[in-house]
Amino acid sequence: MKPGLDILVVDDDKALLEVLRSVLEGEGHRVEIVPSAYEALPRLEQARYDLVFVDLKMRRMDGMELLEHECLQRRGTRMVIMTAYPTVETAVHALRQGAFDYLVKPFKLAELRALVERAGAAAQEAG
Amino acid sequence: MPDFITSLSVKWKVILPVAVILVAAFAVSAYVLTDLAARDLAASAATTAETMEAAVDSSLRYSMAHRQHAMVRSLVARLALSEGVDTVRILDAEGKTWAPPTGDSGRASPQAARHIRAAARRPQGRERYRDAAGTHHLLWAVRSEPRCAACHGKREVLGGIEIAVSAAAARRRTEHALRRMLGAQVAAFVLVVLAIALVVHAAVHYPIARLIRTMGRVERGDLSARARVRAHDEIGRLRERFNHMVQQIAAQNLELARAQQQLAQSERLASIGLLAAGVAHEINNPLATISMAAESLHESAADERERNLARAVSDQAGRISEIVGQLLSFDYSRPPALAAADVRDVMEEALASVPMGEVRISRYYEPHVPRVRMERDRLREAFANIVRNALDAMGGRGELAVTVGHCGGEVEVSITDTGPGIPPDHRGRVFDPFFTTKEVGEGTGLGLAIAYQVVRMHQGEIYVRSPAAAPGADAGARFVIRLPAAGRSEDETRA
Repeated sequence: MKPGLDILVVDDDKALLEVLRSVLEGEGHRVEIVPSAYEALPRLEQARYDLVFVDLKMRRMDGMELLEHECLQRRGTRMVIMTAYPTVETAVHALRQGAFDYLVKPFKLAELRALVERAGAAAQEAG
Repeated sequence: MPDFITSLSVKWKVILPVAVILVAAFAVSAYVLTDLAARDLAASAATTAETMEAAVDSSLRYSMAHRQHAMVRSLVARLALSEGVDTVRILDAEGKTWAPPTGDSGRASPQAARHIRAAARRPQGRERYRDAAGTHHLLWAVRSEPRCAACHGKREVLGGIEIAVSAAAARRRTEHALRRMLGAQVAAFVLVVLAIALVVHAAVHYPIARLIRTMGRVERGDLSARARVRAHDEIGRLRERFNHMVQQIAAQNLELARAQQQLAQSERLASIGLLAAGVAHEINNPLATISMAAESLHESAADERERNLARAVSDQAGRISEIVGQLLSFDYSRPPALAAADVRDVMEEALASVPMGEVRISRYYEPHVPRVRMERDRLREAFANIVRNALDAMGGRGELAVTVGHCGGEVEVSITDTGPGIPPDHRGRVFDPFFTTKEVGEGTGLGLAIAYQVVRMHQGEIYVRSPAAAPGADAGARFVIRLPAAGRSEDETRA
């Protein structure tokens, strides 16, 4: 049995936060949820997460700003940008800025699982 | 130029100067002819008088020599009756009338005697004068001859022969001639002016008036109005050019109307796209929650019934997501990223992306086709949507003919199926979003609308042809797409 990952989910849609937590915890991961990038920032600076899901479009501070945050860039946090309105530009931009992946809402459970699995493998590789 | 001249019709502008010129010409000719006639009359009167004088003179001498005075007197009486002659008289040296015998004969006329003496003094022996009534008198002096001396003694001038040419008669004749001439001139004038008016009316006024009427019809919006071209003169050419112009306007109007219609359609689709872009976030977020939860429930379902219910929720969430995704493709608010590519390659990719089933595909690709500047993914999707539509129409069997060629500066693609065709009342609506003839749940009615929008955004044209079918036969539908070829620098044709 592989050990679960530490996962943070940042989204202003509370229903999605709850469902994602429920699903990911069901897979055996430790999941924290926050409804805004502002609240995510101190947690990201204090703790180390194996994977962070961030919604692209949020009030006050969006996912891209969080991704570009200098501190997180330095620590190499694996961030997945989620968006309900995908465009080629944002996808390219996110990946250029070092995003681990780009997830288009609504996504399939299988997609989510594959992504988390890939993150787990990357985390193990990194030690 | 004064207003009354500029506002005259062409007919009057021609006729009036002609009339003025004619009047002037006729007046001059009348004057000259009248003058000539008068001179002629005078000359002929003079000649007549000369002849009469010669006759009277020789007759007088003969009568005198043979003492037959009655002969000369009767001659004088007869001559006096001639037309245009007032009087013929023989006078003696004192001015007494010797012949014809008149009431006052015998009374001496000192005035006549003076005229006789004056005539005798002139080399030609003739005096000319007018009396108070305006009558011209010619008076010849009768000179003595040797044989006259027996009776008349040594007198040199024996008397005179006077012939008065009637001024009234001459004037009457002149006036008569003048009246006839004037009548003829007025008649000629009226005839010439009428003839010119008729010619100008038929050759200029009438065709121009008809052209103006036709122009009025065009002005009121009847672009089917045409001027009839009969002659090939300036007016004929004017009518031809006018017809050509109207034809061009009609063609341009048609083109404009079509462009407007297409623009309106594009704008409608674009506004759907814009709306979709606005609400995509609001729809996809809850959709993500629903689909995630449904999938999770599906996995943890206690029995088959729960599993089916969970799958139904998940599938329908997927459908909503698909529709939103398609609506988003109408959004061209950001400029398309264009790159030149070969339409044949894109068509092949589109054909490969659609499961063909039992349908045969016939390809007719021209060996050299210019490249087109395109957003490749979108154009591929547009082609695929049309192909999918054709396959659905054929019900999985039949033949799909795909052509790629070029004409002028355009690349033309056609996709023809052997399906039932499109009824005429559907033809104008097949590109409308959400227009579908399929069952609920089988199609979103967006595929062709997306194709339309993609082609329009590539500055292209798309239309559908479906010939009238023979009874019992499938008409088939033919979608034609025209895309502007890329510029020369990018236009590297490949075999």
